[in-house]
Amino acid sequence: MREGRPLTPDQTRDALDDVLARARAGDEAAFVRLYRALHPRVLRYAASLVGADAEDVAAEAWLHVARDLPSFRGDGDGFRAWVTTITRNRALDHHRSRGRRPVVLDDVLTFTDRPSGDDTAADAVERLSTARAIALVATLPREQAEAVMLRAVVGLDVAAAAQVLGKQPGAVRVAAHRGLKRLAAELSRRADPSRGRAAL
Amino acid sequence: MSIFSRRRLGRRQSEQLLDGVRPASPAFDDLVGLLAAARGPQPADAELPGEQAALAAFRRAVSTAPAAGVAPAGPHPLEENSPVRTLALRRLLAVKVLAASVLTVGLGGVAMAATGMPLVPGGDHHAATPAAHASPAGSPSDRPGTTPSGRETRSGTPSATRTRSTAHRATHEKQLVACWAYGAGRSKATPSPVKAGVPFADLARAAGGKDRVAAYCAALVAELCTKADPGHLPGCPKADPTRRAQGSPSDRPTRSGTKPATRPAASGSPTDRPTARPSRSAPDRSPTQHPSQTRTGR
Repeated sequence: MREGRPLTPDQTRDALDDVLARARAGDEAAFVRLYRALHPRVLRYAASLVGADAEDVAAEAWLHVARDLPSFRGDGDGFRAWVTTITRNRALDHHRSRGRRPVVLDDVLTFTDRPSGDDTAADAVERLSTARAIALVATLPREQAEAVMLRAVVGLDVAAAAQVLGKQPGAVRVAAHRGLKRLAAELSRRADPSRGRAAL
Repeated sequence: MSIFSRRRLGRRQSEQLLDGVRPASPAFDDLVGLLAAARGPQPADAELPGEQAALAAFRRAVSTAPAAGVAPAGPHPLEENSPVRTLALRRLLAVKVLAASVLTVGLGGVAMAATGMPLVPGGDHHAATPAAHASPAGSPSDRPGTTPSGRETRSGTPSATRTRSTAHRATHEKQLVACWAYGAGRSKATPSPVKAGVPFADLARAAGGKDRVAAYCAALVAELCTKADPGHLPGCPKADPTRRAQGSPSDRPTRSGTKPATRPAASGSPTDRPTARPSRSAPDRSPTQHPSQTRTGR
């Protein structure tokens, strides 16, 4: 059933809440867990916005998150939305400062957000396909691309995604739905690009 | 489009796909695959790139936060949470600002401060005191966006309102350091934004434009280096009280040459922390409903 999402929602939620509480109290190990759990997602989201500069954007976002975490109020879901929002803002700043450019990821950003040690050929392929998949999503009108990324990749629910985007939930639903329809059409047109290695 | 007739993607299937659930129909397996690929593999529980830097920032935050005796709960002044302020706090600040302006304005009395007038381009002339006051405040403007509520509401323009917070002092100090880092604002060539503590883009936005950065920085110098304890600000010219009084601080912070301390102690300065408990504004609201499944927890 679930693709690449090992934890059930409930497990995730409880765990995140708990880890968040500890991190807020200053627990470094907990912070690291937060980072490892969320960074890959926000990195991908950032990639859909700024392409190969995603790592810089995500890094900046995390500095902010780390700095403000002790004063953060909210639960795990709120935290995820918060981190995503910060990332988004940094990405938009990036656009403002350099101008928006087409997202080109294929060969540049290979998502090295994995332990460097476990580097196999298969991994390389995986990373590449991740980059391609994101690049494809990024070809959608931004509104749709963001809705799809936030929902499907970052893992936010509609309400959280709406909050991050500053839109009504209904608008986010529609945008994501349209985005998927376009993607489906695009996929039928191409030879299946990255018939993804599902994460599990 | 013919595809739609062949396999029609309904709202329901869309939601399933977005939730990471494979729809019953195999018709969308390619989409399932695409989204799974976009999500990428489950990350192993091992160190990721950027982790150390983030952790270091976290350590700094933790070590300074408790020290902030005044308001431990305060959000970092510079950041995303800061927008929320209690009315009381505002008043308090307003009083301070007023007092400060009175002091500042002493001579030239250009009461622009009150208007929150940002540094004007070409700024040398205006940069003077008042502006220095108000303008910097505007800088953080982009921050608010970050709050969970998240939109980029007040993009560029500095909002006078938020200016008056001492909380912004820290922000300004950071920006000042960034000024040094960017060679007083003009040569952005030098250090990377992250190293400067404040991305050039942020600085430019705070200033109201890239071409205003120099003036803005000048105002920051006027504002920060002549007040309080310039001592802890690396790169401040010798305190020069007079500068404040005169309408025109040099637009060019003398120090341009100085090496910017990457991450100014400023950020931590406890005093700046607003007491209110700002952060929650946004985070709390985040829709909890169903935890969008994450692979978070582990």
